[in-house]
Amino acid sequence: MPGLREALVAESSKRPTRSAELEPSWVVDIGDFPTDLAWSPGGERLAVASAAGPIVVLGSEGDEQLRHRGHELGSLAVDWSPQGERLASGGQDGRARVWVPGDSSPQAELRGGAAWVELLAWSEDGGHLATGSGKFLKVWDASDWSEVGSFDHPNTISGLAWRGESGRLVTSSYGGIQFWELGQPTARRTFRWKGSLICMRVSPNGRWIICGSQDCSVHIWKSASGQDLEMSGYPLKVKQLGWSDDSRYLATGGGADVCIWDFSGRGPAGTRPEVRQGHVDAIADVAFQPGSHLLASLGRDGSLCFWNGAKGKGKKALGTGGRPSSGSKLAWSPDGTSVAAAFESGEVVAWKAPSVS
Amino acid sequence: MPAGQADARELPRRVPVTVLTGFLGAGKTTLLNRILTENHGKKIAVIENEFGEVGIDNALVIGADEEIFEMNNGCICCTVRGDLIRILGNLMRRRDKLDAILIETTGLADPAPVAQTFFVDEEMKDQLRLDGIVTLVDSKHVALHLGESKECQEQIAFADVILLNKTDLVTAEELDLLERRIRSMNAMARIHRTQNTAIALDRVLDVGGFDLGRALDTRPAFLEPEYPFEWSGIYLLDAGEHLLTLQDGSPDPSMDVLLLRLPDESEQAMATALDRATRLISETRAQPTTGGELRPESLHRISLAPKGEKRVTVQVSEPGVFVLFTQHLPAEFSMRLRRGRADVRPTSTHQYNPGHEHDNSVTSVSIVLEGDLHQEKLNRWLSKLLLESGTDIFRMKGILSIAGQDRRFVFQGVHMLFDGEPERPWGKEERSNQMVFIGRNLDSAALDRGFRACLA
Repeated sequence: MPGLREALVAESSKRPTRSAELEPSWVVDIGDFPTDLAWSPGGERLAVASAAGPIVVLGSEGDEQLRHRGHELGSLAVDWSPQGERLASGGQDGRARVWVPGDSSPQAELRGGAAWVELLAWSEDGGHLATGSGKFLKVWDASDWSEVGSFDHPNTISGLAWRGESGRLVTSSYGGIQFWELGQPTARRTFRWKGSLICMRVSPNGRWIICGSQDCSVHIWKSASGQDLEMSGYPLKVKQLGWSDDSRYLATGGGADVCIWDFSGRGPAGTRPEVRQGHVDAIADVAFQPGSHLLASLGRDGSLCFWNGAKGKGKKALGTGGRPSSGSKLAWSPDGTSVAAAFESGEVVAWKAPSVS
Repeated sequence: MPAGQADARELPRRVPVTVLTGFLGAGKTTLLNRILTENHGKKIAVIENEFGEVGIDNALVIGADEEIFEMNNGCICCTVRGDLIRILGNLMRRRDKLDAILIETTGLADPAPVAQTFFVDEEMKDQLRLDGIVTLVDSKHVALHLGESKECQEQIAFADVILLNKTDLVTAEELDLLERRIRSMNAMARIHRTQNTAIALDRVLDVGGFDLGRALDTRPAFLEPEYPFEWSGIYLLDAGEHLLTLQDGSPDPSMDVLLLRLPDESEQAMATALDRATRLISETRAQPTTGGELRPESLHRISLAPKGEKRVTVQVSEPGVFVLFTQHLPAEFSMRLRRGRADVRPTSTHQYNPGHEHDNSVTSVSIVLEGDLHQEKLNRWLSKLLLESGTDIFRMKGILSIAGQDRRFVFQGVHMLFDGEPERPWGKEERSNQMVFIGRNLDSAALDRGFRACLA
């Protein structure tokens, strides 16, 4: 593994200098543990899934606009269609639902195949919705909500993404990565890896497929060749992955420090990550600002830090904030002006992005 | 760190998790239903082996699909239940905080990955604590599985609590035999006998099986030294000829019997006799005979190979108090002692923790050792032991006296995972070392030697 432990040790002697404390621009208490956050593509709305079930839709200033009943026993995921007119949700009732904001009952109710629907992904053109439920991947036609594809996995699906507009998908699960195509019942390609992959993020340019692993490592594949690379040595399992829009940087959690890998040139093989230290407890989420290298990280200690994530751009946080509750999720508004953070207490809090000097 | 946020966060209590194992038909579902419907005032979540999720009154039932995740490094102790990590992770997000979580495993499950999930995964470790492994046993049918099923043996070996269920379907003698046999496999579990899984909830939940502070809150059998005999009976014998008879019983090749004269029936006399018997039996090489005479103070080995009743005469020259030690339980052979036509019964009997069991590959080895241990030596020995035979050691527990430390060192382990800490001071209590291993193919002599070599 290329230098992660060394990088962490080298950094640990340096104390982070105190940075500007940023006031939130708004704070809303949705009354329950927020399990997922999603901004509508235009940035007018922020959907929040809750562990109790309801789905709360906030306006861009945090005003509560709507509350859908969501999913009995708990909601797990929310995702807006690319045009922003429909909101898909998945939950512990084994269903995915599609809501048109304002309508009290869902436009569609889809059976994911297992007890929980945990993963949702709209195709780039909004024509299809993919659901991941246990070992079942299903694809639905968004015009009439008919099931147009069903792909069974040997293990629970932990990550799901569309690849371009071609009706192709990629999933991760225990044992590897699978590539699927609508109309073909079996996987087109498989990258096998004997290990438990617990989340997946495909780089925006499609070149890299990254998975966090139960054994405290990050596994990396080049999607074209299947050539792989492993970054081990994290203190915790890695569930937090965030790409910069230009696919140059990948930020990872898996401990209290943010590690940033540089994917320029031939990739991160043999390199050391840059480390950003500001949290005292494990990182709950990381996310790059759309269109820039400004990085936000949220900690289980309730702290939020903004960083310049670009190479050699300083170790000092550009600004910090925090709440007295464990952080769970981050979501940048599509225009990048503010970041919303969800906390276990039920608070959803927005901060304006600091300017990158 | 910004603004000292972490200080303001309350540390939540870790929710206890109980793992329920047992073969199909042992009564797991009955016990679960009992727990779900009983009015105990606790909020309990049950993770079942079946598809689906339903809320029942004050409880929550979630279906799980057993998914065993092995790690790329091939380490068996890193093998976890991936489905549990997901389910429990989500469960802990609910507002209605749970008092307990029960996990039912499939009949053929290996308990190790479930247990390891709570030690290997940081997220699970933070929020949950494994409280105990409860194994249900079908008293009527378990004997069929004990000898040949690896899974059945492991479920018993891993258990903190064993419920011998369906006791109404077997005789009291059969039940005693079964309990002895299970005890020889697992010396530290609490064993309860039940019908229809009727048991008080506090015997099953919150038993502290993995709690270091409660590491030795277990059965006396755990502390009892091992003897080369399983039973003794005190007899008041008159002068004259007696007859000891054995019927066909268990498939042992022979049975050692030893008769010692006691000055009286006092505990002191018995303690001295125990020492003498242990030495005599360990040091004497006896030839098996099919009959003959059993003389006091001399080991007699009765051959069990030929079929039919075995008869041994006992000549008592002077009346008095005697103690008879037998290698196996007399009940296995319907043993009788007669003088003329009258049965002579013992005035008191005692059962012992056997040093070894021949027909089970899963055994417990308990070691009690006086003196202080050398910490470095102990570390080296344990590391080597776990590296070499960690896959065969299912569980271990101990309370140790480390030289130079005034506090008791308590530890426990599951396979190669090891957890230990200094606990309360010894104070006036006599310092000693107690250790138990439960595993497959354990070499008790080697363990004893190795442990002894760690003395300071």
